[in-house]
Amino acid sequence: MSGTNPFDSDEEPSASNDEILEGFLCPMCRADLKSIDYLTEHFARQHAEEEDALKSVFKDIFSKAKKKILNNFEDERERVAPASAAASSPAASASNASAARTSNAKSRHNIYSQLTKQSVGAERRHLEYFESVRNPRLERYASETNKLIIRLHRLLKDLPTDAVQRKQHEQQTVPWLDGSSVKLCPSCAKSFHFARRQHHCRLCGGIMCNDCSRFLQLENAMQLASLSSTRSDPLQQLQHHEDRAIRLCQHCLWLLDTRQDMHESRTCHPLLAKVYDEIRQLQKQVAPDLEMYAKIINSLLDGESIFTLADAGALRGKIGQVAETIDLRSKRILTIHSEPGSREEALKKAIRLSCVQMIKERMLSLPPLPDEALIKQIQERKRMETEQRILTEQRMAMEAYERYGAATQVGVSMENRNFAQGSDLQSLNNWSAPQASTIKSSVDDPLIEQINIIKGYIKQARQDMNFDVVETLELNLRELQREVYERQRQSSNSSKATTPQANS
Amino acid sequence: MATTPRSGGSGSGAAQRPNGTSQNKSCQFKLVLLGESAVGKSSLVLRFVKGQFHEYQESTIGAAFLTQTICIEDTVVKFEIWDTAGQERYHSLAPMYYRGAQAAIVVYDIQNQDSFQRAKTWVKELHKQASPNIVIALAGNKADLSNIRVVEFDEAKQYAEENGLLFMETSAKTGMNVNDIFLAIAKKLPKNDNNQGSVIKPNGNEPTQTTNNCCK
Repeated sequence: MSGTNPFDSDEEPSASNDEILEGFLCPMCRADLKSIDYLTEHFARQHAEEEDALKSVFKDIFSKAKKKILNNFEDERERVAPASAAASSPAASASNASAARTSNAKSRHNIYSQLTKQSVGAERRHLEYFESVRNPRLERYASETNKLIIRLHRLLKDLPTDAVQRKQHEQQTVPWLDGSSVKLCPSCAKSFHFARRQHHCRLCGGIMCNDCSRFLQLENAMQLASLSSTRSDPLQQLQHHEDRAIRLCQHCLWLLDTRQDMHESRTCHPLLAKVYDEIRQLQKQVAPDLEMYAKIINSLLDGESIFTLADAGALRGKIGQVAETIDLRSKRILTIHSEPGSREEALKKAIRLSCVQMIKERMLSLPPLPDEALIKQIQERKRMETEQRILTEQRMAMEAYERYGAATQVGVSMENRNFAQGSDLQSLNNWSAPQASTIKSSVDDPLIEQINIIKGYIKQARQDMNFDVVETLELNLRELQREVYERQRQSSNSSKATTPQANS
Repeated sequence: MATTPRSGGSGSGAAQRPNGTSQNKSCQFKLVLLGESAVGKSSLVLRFVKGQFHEYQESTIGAAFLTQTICIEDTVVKFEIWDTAGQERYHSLAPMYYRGAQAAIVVYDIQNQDSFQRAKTWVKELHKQASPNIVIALAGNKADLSNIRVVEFDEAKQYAEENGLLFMETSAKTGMNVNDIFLAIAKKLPKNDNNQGSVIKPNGNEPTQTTNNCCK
């Protein structure tokens, strides 16, 4: 350095821009290309030959001219742009203009940043167009492939084992192109001569050299043409390797391979998919159980006696079992072999993870079974409350009863009751018909009978863990029991009422 | 070492060729910075070009382009600096930038052994792919944290000597050796050579001018 300070000069023209360019800059023209792909493509296309010194001089001149033109052009564009962008103040446009003058890349950058401010414009679906392009293409491939399959079928149906006959047969099925005017192999462009002979594709008749030929093994061909392999037995005995295959061109083989792949992808259900389906099934099955369990627990904690603690325990056990099965299945998926680091591997891990998460979040987080004593306590309290309520109701009823005349009331209620009993008998008989034999007919009251039937149903439903049904049945049972209770009370009341009447 | 970085934005700002200083030799070099991410490439350049240091320098996207002009004896040397992004996904872009570069600074972090290994692979790549007479400097950055260093000075020095590299430990934070390493590169670069690499643009004035010292 020797005393001189290389940085401290004012005369020196400052080429260090205020602005630091950053982004996907082209090393040649410093344009910001916005992405790796654009940049590499741009570089490959625009600057491929720039190493050539002479060319670079010319290019430089041209690019300078281009920059100048572009600069002017972009200046104008920028003058227009701020008008549309509400945010840009005069100051911003001024700075834009100056930036455009200082460096091309910078001005481009500005244009881009203004473009990003645009709001979403009109949208248009291109699916129809896509399909209109894609469908004819698919059809063409399909018909082409079909043609090949038909030819393959004819070719293989009675393929002679003798080489000469076979050749004749092949030429009969698919006419071979005349090769006299073909001097070069159409796919590799190497000239045909004495050492590189012409060969024909057995399916399209096209010409190629031996290196460009592909071979389809007869067994595979049989499968493709959906012929039984019994025919191929004599063909199997062919010694020569090439004799047991059919010579094809690349294109025909590709078409056949694609068809095969499509077919396989459609019909093939890998073990992974099967096990995953099972898991999904289990998950679907367990979903209502989970809801039901929450409902049961809530109902228990509310002191209702629709469900029992045993119900909750049983359902919990069932859910636990399902969780275990899901866990096992997902572990099984992990053991299925796949390439390390492949997408399949990632998929397996993702399935396992989601299963574990599901089990953790939905199944293991179930509220624990409430303490039996606690339930008892709650139920006891509830019962006391209801009893209290019933007592007050009774007292109120008694008061009301005393307030109005008793004698007429009783007569009416008696009649009502008889009528009600009669109608019940008829309607309930239908209902209970299948169960009638199992129930001891010692009870003549159809209501009691019905209660017994429903109890039987509930028992069954419990065994099947069909808790939805249990719930409706239990509620029904409550109603019936209340009805019976009501009636007994009324009859006892009326008997109480009738005795004084009889006495008087 | 009385070098102080020139403050940015002092000049005319226009990207013009140094036509006004016809009394000097003038040349232009393309310099590229390479190294693992977060070793301080951008900080190093920012310190050199603007004299600034940001504690939280954002990671570079793609590449950054800066220029700085310095004077050595009678020559105005303009560095066109390509500060490449260190992240692995931008690796494929690097050849584009070091192709045709006359100088390269391969940066590593003295607290990070991996970054030193990465620097070695960069040097290897440059020897293989870049222009054969490229001047390579190895910079062990973050020298202000030398008390928790992992890469020993002697180890790096020895490696640099074996491979014919310039070597300095630098600190973009304190400014230590930052200007020096650029100056050392500038001195080592051939300045009277008309053909300054393959893609150099023809200057307005070829370095065949009278020799007046530009520095006061």
